[in-house]
Amino acid sequence: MGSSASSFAVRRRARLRELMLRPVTLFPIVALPVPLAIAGQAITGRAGPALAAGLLAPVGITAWRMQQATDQAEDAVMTEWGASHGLTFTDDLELPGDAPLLRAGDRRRAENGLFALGEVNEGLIVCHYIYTVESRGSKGRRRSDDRTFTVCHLKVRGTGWSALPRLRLHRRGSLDPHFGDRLQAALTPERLVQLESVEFNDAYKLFVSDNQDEVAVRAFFTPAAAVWLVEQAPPGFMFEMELNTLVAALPGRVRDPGLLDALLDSARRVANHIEQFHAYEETTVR
Amino acid sequence: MTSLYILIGAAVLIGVFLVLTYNGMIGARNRVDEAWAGIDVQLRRRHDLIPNLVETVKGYATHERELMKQVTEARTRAMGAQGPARSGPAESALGAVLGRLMAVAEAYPQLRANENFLALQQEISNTENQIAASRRIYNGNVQSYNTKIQVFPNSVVASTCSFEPRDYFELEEGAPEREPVAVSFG
Repeated sequence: MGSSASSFAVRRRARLRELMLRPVTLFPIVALPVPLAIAGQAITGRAGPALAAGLLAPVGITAWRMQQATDQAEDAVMTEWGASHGLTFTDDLELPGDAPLLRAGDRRRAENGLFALGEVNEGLIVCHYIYTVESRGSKGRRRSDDRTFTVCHLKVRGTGWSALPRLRLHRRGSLDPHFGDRLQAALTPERLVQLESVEFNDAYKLFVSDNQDEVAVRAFFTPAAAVWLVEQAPPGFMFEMELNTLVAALPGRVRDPGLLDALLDSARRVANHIEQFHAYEETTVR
Repeated sequence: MTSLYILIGAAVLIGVFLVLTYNGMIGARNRVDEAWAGIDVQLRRRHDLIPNLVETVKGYATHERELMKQVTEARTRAMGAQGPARSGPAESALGAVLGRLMAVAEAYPQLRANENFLALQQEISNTENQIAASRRIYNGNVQSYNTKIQVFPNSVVASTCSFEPRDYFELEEGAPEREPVAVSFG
């Protein structure tokens, strides 16, 4: 995972070097301060402010180039990783809002989208996903907060009937004590379920619909599944299930191919488990 | 007057602490019981599978009567053992003798080709995996509960209200459920 993690860093460094050495970048950095100072002296009679602006310009140009290098390295890593998994890259992806995470916030956008063509991975999408929450501060000033995830969107087969149509399994943050759970559940049409594992309950928050039969939830989260989620799932792993859609996610922009593999593998394991669960429930009920 | 307010305030704080601590211990103890019930379900499932397995093997491996007798006796002892401290050794013994039976079955090609045997073998393997996972959960809950009742000042409340430490579900070396869990989301 270490070498694959560095592949993004190596690409970014190489790209930044190339961008910085371009004449169109170098020229303004080297030559802008002095002409600006002279122009400032001629127009306003004071060289100081114009010289300061001229000295700040290289900082702005460097920051812009660094962002460009990051974006391009990210595109390259995602394109390459997607190609190795039979996924096609697009920067113009619209995620369907078929899971709570994909409907969250006031604005949503997807970046570095990878999608599957053909029947093998039908409905599979991997992308960086950002939703924005807008709020007003105490002085009425507008504030917007971005929440960024790397998501894996899958369609689950064979879900004509389901004892467990929707659930949300989110990671509990280190500053996320249990006493907020009831409040959070009270504010939504959902109920928090605690499994028998203390470690699981400390690591995750599991929400289901208010009218959900808890026996089905416990049948779904077998002991092996609970232990796997606590001990082997990638750090920050969470998932949501709604009808035949599964959205698995990791927090932040994952650019490490090893971690992207882990996300996809984990999502497929969960999807497989959902399919087995539905098949079992259908045979036992019908 | 100020001293009275301080005293009332201190009494309220102590009362809140006692209630929260007591409720926390009850919650932790219930989680331990719940986790043990989870193990118990899996153990019963394994016990229920064994007679079918023995019957299936008996039809092919006629020379293994002694081993099958050992399996049946180990199962009876395991079913009779109550609580984690007693169930641990009994289940370890049952797991070990079951492992021997599975190994012996490998020597009978016709048995290995029997669909019923293969299904039972798979089911027992899955159950052992679930037992291993349930054991991990139970021992985690016991650790959390024991810590909760042993740290100061909780230990004062625990000893006053008779909260006793719980036993871990220990399995002996070589028991299949003691092996690392092939935990999977499935």
